[in-house]
Amino acid sequence: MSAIIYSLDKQTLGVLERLLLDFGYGQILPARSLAHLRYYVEREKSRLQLVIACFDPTDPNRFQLFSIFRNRPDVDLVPFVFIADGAFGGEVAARAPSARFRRIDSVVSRPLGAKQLHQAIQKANEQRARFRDILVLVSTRGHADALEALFEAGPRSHWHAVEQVKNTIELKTLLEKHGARIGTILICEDCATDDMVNWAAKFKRSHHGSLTPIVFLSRDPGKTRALRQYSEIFFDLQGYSTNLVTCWTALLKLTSNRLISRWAAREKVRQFRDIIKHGNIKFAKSDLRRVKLMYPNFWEVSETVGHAYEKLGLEGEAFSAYESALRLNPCTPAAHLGRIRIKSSDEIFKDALNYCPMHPQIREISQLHIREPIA
Amino acid sequence: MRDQLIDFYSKYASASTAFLTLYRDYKHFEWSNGQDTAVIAYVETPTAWIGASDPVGDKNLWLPLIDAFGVAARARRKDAVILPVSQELAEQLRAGEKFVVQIGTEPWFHLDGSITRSDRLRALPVARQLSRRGARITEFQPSNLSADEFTELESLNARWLGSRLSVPLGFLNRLDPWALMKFKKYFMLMFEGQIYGYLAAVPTQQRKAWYLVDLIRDPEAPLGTTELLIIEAIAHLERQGVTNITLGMAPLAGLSAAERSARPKLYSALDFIFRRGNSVYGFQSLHAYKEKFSPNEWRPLFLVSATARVSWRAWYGLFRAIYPGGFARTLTATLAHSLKKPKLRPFVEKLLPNELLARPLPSNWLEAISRMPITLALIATNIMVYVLTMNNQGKIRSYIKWRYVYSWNHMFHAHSALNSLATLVLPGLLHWNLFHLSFNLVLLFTLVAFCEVIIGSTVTCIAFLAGSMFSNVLTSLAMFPMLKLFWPAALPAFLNEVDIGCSLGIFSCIGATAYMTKYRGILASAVIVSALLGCITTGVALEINHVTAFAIGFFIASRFIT
Repeated sequence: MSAIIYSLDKQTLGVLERLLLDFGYGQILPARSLAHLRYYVEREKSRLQLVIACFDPTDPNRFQLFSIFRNRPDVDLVPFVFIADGAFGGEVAARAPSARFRRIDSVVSRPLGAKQLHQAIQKANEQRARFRDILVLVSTRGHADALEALFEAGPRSHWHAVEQVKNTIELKTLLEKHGARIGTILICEDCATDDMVNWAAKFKRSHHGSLTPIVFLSRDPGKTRALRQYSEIFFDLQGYSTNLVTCWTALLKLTSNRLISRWAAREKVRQFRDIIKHGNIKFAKSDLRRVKLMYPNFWEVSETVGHAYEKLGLEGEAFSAYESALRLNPCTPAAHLGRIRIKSSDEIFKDALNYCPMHPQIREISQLHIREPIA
Repeated sequence: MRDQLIDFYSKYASASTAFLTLYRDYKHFEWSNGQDTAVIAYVETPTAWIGASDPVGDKNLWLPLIDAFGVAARARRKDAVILPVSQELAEQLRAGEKFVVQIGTEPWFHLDGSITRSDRLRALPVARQLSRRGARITEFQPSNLSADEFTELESLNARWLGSRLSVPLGFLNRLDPWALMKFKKYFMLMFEGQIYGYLAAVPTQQRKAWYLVDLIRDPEAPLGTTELLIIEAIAHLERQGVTNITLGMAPLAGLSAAERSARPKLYSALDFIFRRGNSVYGFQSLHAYKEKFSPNEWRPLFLVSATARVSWRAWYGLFRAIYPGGFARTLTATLAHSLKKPKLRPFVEKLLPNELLARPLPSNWLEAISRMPITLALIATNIMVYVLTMNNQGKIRSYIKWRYVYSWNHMFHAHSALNSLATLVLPGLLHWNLFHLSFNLVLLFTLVAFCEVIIGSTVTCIAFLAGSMFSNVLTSLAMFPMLKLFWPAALPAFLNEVDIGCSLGIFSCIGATAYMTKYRGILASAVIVSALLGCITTGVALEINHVTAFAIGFFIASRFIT
């Protein structure tokens, strides 16, 4: 995954490259001219994750910068950070929501350090995610009315519209129509057919698919198996609450939060994994609880926090973190293995086997320890 | 007429540089024996005719042509020399006891298929690496380029010329890649969507041999650009049936093999220039660069004359041909060229740390002025306040001095809260006298302006005001208990020590700027040492307030830019 930085100034490119190295971008491509930028955008396409452009008042092409990204659906999901200076920076910031500068997702002024850049990139990712305001519901039952009622009641999340489809043909048509604006796909258990599984496999291999979460609306182990590897979270719509409105509200908030804070959460996971890898987790002990509270809708964060607690020997907190992860995604083997390491009970083994029956490590450990045969 | 000349050259020119003498600067001297004609191109200077390259035409006519050339020049009260000429002509002239001196060697590649493109790339890893990274060489004709592409090449020329230390040269070194373009071949290097260099080749020997004459690259081009251009151009030309290629003369190289007996002192001088003159003109580096390509042969090239001796007028004429502006103008232009380069920029860029992105340096004075509104406002305010508060001798008025200067006693024993506040705010705008004001204004226009240009107006304003208002108070609060504990006798005097001037605000901005540099520790130490020296020399302990001001600015910058 790559990031492009554009500036006429070599010093600026060098510093930005140095700052971005700490943010986990695989490849940072410095462009010193518009031709260079255009070349990189066309070369990278779906691998592109970020564009940072520095404003230079002496750049004769400064207003042509955005034309490179116009009418390019393959880079529609790429956040754009604009580093501004002086008067023009203020003008850009003021006009950012307008049509001409719509492509800018966040503006930050110099001088800046790593923290400001981090905040700008986070804001850009959030802003770009907000444009993805269409939720797709794949279900044969009539759920859309409930969602419509919620929207009428007031804004609960960034979702602007809900589109319901019944099968993969309708789903494909909708994806072609709305493209990158589709932010999340909810699949009901009644639509988890072989056709849907094949479609999900293909969709997840595409660029848009890799950035679009799929939520499966069931936690039944038997029903989750089909879409286990393609769904990000599993939400038990019927079992969440007796009140349907409460269920849908929670689901909307969850999916909205996961889409918008996706980059921030993944960055946090990456940071903690780095810290754990370098053996410095004890210095981040005080942050673990705070981070878990900051990202309650991210099982990835809970799982990493659980791993961190385990490294610190705090098994109680670790177990709790793994449980939080499994509440959102019961099919993540790492959390099951974490729980098994801390508490080896039949119930935990059965749970792990139910949701991850083909995971070799879980099978091996469970078969050694389970006293009752699995039905 | 010109077309006839071009046809003539196409048939008879054998030297690599012959084609270059068809450019518009050159005059052509013809000589004929009634049947055949020979031509020599030359440049006329105030003191000499400088012939360029071997004569063109029947070789049997070369000697009489050169004699006639010399006679014609003398008739116009000018000397005549010709360079660079081939060994064949030089030997003939040497036999006639004319002035002959070797001035360099020229590398030639014989394209017989024994060395392939891959061999050349293997011998030059930087070129091979660049080729593997995706750089591509394409042949092009300028007339077929779009307007944008041509503009890009022109700007490449400008950047290349701007990166050179010396002024543009004349004679056979003149850069004119688009002259006679339909007879030339061009090759450009594209890498990652950008043109990083191009090469122009001129024909000779009935287009069987080519001279790779103009090699232009972007100063920011990746390593191996020119090497890859040359290797690929050679490969392209070989596929088109070209048998020989040259890279042009390496001046003053290969003189060790020259026949030196006739002019030992001159050759010693030329050797000295070759060994020591690399910083003026890259004699050694140019030879080493051409040697990298392992040419098949190095052919000597000579400077010759129709006479047995060459006077200072001929040497001066040669200088004027290569440097058309003359010595004084060339020196002035070289100095101006060097000074035009933004030397300040690399110096400042080296000061800045890698983990902070500062504002870019202004490209001209107008932009710099527009980026320092706070500094200009402070300068104007200080001048205005000085004018309003000075007496007839240009010093601060007594009643202002006794009411509004800062001291601990003024501050905390003032008549009213308003007076206390005034003691906090006003001293930063007051000055003892004109000298005090002028000194601080100079510091404002340099150090505070620099801070504002690099960090921005907001931080500068906050740092200046905070430093100006709070440095004295904080210093007094810090010093009070220390003096009370360790040196109580000095306490009353300390409480009466006064301070005015905008130097605290300036030092606060220095502190903010120091945060933006790699040398924070060194700058902080310098400020501490100078403040201590100030205390010792003036006997005023409150001078330590400059360290406090520095710390305030440093802290503000650290909070603002993390």
